[in-house]
Amino acid sequence: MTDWNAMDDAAFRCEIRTYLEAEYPKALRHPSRRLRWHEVSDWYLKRAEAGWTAPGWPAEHGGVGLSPSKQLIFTEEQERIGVARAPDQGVVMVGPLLIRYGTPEQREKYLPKILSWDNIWCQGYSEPNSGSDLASLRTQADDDGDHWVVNGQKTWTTLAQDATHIFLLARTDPQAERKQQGISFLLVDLDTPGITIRPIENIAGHEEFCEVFFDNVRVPKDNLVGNVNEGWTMAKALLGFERLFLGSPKQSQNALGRLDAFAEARGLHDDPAFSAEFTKLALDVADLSEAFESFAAQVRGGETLGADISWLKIWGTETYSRIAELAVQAADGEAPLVEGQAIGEDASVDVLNLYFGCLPTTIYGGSNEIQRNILAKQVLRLPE
Amino acid sequence: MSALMDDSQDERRMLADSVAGFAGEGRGIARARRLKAEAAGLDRAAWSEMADLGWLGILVPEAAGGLGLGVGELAVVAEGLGRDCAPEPLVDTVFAQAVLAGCDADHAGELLAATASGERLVAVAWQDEAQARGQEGPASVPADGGSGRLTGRRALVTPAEADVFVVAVGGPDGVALYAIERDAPGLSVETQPRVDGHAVLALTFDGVSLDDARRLAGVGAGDGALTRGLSVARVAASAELFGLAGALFEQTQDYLASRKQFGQALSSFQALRHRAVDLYIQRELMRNALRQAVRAFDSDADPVDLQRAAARAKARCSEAALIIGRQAVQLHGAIGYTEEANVGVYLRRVLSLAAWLGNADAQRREYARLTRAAA
Ligand SMILES: Cc1cc2nc3c(=O)[nH]c(=O)nc-3n(C[C@H](O)[C@H](O)[C@H](O)COP(=O)(O)OP(=O)(O)OC[C@H]3O[C@@H](n4cnc5c(N)ncnc54)[C@H](O)[C@@H]3O)c2cc1C
Repeated sequence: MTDWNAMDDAAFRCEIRTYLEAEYPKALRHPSRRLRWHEVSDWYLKRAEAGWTAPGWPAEHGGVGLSPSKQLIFTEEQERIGVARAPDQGVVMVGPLLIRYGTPEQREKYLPKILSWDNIWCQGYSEPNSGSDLASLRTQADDDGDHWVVNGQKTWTTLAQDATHIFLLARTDPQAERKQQGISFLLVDLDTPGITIRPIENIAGHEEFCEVFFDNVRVPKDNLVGNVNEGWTMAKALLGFERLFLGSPKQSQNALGRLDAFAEARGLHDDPAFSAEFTKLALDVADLSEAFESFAAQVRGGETLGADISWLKIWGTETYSRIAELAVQAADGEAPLVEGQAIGEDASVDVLNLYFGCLPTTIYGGSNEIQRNILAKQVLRLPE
Repeated sequence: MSALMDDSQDERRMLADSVAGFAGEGRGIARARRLKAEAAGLDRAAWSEMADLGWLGILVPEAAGGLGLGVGELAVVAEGLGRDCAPEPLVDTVFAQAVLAGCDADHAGELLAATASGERLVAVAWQDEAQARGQEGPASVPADGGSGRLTGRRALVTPAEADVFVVAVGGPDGVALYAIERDAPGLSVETQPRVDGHAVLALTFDGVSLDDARRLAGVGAGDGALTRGLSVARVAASAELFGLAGALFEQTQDYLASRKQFGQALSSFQALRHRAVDLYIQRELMRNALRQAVRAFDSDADPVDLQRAAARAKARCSEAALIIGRQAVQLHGAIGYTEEANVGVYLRRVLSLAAWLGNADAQRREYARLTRAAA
């Protein structure tokens, strides 16, 4: 078996790039919305067969065992070519959670099915009344001997309609002193009686997320991860280097590329006012990329990321937004056309799609307001 | 409620009340949702109700069956419809009417009367793709080449249900206007869906006859009619945007007060209080830009001043409504990103109107051009 980690970074990057260029379907590159499982399953099942579902997991658990630096390269190459995201919460969250905190039985039961995509996981954190203030969550799990009985509601659960399982933060001790205490991590099979999933249509007309209702749902005690009432600490510990990717420059780079193609087709670069704004944004993206690389270098060096990573998320998503907004201005009367803007014989751009695409990025992953609060408190340490 | 009234303006107050009555509890947004979900096109029942209320003839002289009122009254109605997110193409219709009002041919008057009663829908087809993209100035609308036939394209034509088009045909000396029926031989019509659920039309003319019976205005009168029509329509669109943005702002303000996180109302967080104030300033800027435009029409300013006032209003209202719309989504959090929330429906209408007849950047260019030309 190839020792990928021993390979030199450039050679590894070249290998991955060549593979993706050759194998990854053209029609699925840079999709204009979050794709559903049936649209991406061919590709991911093929990768699963080759043992590449979970590049970051240790080899002993069925992953590729890539070092952080190689994982980063792998992710960068995927983003470069515009690989559609899978419903990947199993790989990204549940696997690392179980590898770190799970029992041997839990690992044996769940990890192989994550790797084979027999189980697809969704993330049950947010609730109608607990968004930014996640720790106030109210979904309750009551002790009933060998089961937990779950009641409550999760919402904004991305692609729950495609999932077989959900991992939940639920309240197991309503009497706890602080709201962050008394929360536990539960693994729940979505086929369990008492669960109702209702898709929610988003502003662009796509069913991207769902509401998930729990009505006396009986969850075996074996499905608790880690210690009871320690779910919050575990959830925080899981915010590993995934946080880096919330600040990835790829969305901005992609949007800038679309705007560039549009401007080229319409001769907008000859307009000094447009050119000045475009160049400003191009430099915003360039400095974003530089910052991303510098955070990435910390990850490569094995450091844990600090709270300062929050500024990358803010700058990345707000740069993306400014690009989308300039695209809307540049397209003028054509901007609201649902089928996009033709830029030649069979090419087009879709500025609405850029616009609707940027809207949620400043809301999810910890809203930009919350990121600013974090920076003010934890990085600047501004006295209250 | 309105930006546009002082105490002496009873007529406008009565109109505002009547629009509020028509809007009722969210009837407009319900029609907007239906339009988007079912691509239902124009709601004929609502349209004829609006005709009965006189709004389709608000600018149309009483002799032609209209109310014979001014742009100030029009703005009151447009604002009220915007507040309710009503999807009816009033501003599109007003554009056609203001153009027709400046035409000298007899059948222009007949057409005008038919639009006021709601019997006919007319759309202005005044620019081809290159002009719509600002790549060519409006004076160069492709000429008929003296052949008496029109070959060429017209882009972004609304309302999509129009059964007659007022088509601008340019020549070296200016623009003439012709009325061409939708089913005229040589005309083909292509429909492109727009984000608010309406569609826009792309027209292709292939040797369509420009005979005298079709002529609405010759060169000279045609230019004046089109210019005035654009100014009126831009103010009307600005007023509708003002209504949309006002409602978005108020919905957001209410949401901040009622939504609790961290044990307190969102409105208690200083970052959000300041954001709300910034949006309030945007809305007040819209109100003022709109007021100066209405005043220019009230005082019968000369055409270039009207054009400038309209460009100024449309630039401000397009930009500010988009700022307010985006922030309304942000401050609602994930719920703001759903179809279920009203803010998204409003935002889609804002996106459509902000781009209609020139967005903020385009209007600022227009303003600069007119200002330099006047100096
Ligand atoms: C596309 C999308 C996909 C998602 N997928 C998932 C998923 O799979 N699983 C899941 O669990 N969740 C998911 N979420 C939910 C996401 O995590 C929440 O939307 C986010 O935490 C914000 O919560 P909220 O929407 O309730 O907004 P709220 O918390 O109600 O916030 C509303 C507004 O107030 C601001 N605000 C709140 N508190 C403060 C404060 N203290 N100071 C200043 N401003 C403040 C916010 O920034 C925001 O602008 C998704 C969201 C989106 C949009």
